Amino acid sequence: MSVYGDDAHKLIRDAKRTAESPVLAPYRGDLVRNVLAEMQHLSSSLREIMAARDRVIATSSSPPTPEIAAEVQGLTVAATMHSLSITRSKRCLLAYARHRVTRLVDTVWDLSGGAATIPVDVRRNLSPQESDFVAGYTALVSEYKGLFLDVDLGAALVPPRDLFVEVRVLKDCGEVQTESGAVRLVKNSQHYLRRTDVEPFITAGYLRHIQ
Amino acid sequence: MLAGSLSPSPDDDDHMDTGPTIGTATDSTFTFSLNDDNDEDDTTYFNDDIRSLTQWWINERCAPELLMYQADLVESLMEMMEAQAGIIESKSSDTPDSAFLVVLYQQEMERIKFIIRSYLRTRLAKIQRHTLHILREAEYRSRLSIDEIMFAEKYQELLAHHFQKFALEELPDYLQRLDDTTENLTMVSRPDLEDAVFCRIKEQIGVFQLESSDEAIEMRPNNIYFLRYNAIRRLMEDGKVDLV
Repeated sequence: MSVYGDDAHKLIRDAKRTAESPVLAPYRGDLVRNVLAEMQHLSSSLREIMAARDRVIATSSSPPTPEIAAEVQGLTVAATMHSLSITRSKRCLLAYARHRVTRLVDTVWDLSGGAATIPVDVRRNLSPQESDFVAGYTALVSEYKGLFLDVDLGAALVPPRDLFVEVRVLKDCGEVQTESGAVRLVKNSQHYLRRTDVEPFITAGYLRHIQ
Repeated sequence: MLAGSLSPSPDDDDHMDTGPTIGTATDSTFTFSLNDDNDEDDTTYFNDDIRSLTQWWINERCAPELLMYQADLVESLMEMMEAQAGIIESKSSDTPDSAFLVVLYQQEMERIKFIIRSYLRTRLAKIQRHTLHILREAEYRSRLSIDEIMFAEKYQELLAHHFQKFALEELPDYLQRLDDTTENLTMVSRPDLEDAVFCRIKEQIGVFQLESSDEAIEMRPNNIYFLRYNAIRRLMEDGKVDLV
């Protein structure tokens, strides 16, 4: 068996190493399971140590002989070590989960808080629980956004420069309603349109903003 | 009306003459200048709501903790924008001049929308960072809008459920808590009020004793200091200093 705490450390290293990568790294279910098994193992031996310690204290004369006192002290130290390892592993697990949640939250907002449009390469790196979280969070965000329809909370957090932008169509969008009428956005055509009308398409990758 | 906000006024060029450059963890390359066109150097806002909200927005972005929600400002600006949208619709854009005006109106509205959007999103980001702390402390809780309380509570629920399913439910009961405290380490993350901030003095304050230091400084209007947030927190709440 590997050293105690090793796998927990690996989780943290994994999170740190991939913190800058554009796509969330695959979920390390194997490591998480190892850490959990280790914690369960540690906490059952912690229970045994505590029970042994209680037994020694109960059967000792008072005041305890020096040998008994030393034994109790030894068991106390062992119990402390176990308890600290468990606490540390819990911290590592939660830090790992929290780190991924934060990344997912950012991803949801990057897609303008939008629907179920999480890209496939992110989706397949999620654990089932994380997919549930994303679904719940997306629902929460759209509920909150619904309270401020006028300002479109999902739009990019970049200060507006121009009312109109030049865009090139990367994928066919069909006919799109704008404030001043309908436009047919055919692949490879270029248009000069109101930014607010086409921003969702830019975020979704259908159009490219030409500087 | 917003129409007034585009007229230049030379006596106000000390306000916002340099666009503040702000970066946070949420969007690292964020720059915003209130006058990004050279010929708008002395743009002023006749309507104080816009100026106030802009300052609250900047404060919110710079302060480590969540500030009071400016419900009145947000509401009145939302109402104003609705009225403005009506005016734009009624304006014809037949002549080049009026068409140009309509563009200016619309541009102005986009900018206000941006500030409101960014303001609300900055607050959401902070709420998500310190959810449990904010929900538990009565003082922070009172700074949230009703909608934000809803958001925070549901978010906390989601998080707790996720952590539970992720690992905690397989552990013994005593390890399932999300708010353990060991010595001086707590699982509930809170804002770092000792963080350093830049601030600009708005009115004559005189000699000011810095908290947790023997140093006193004389604060004159328009001086800019780089101080611990804790030291100037109350001054900012009283509107005597702005964060920049």
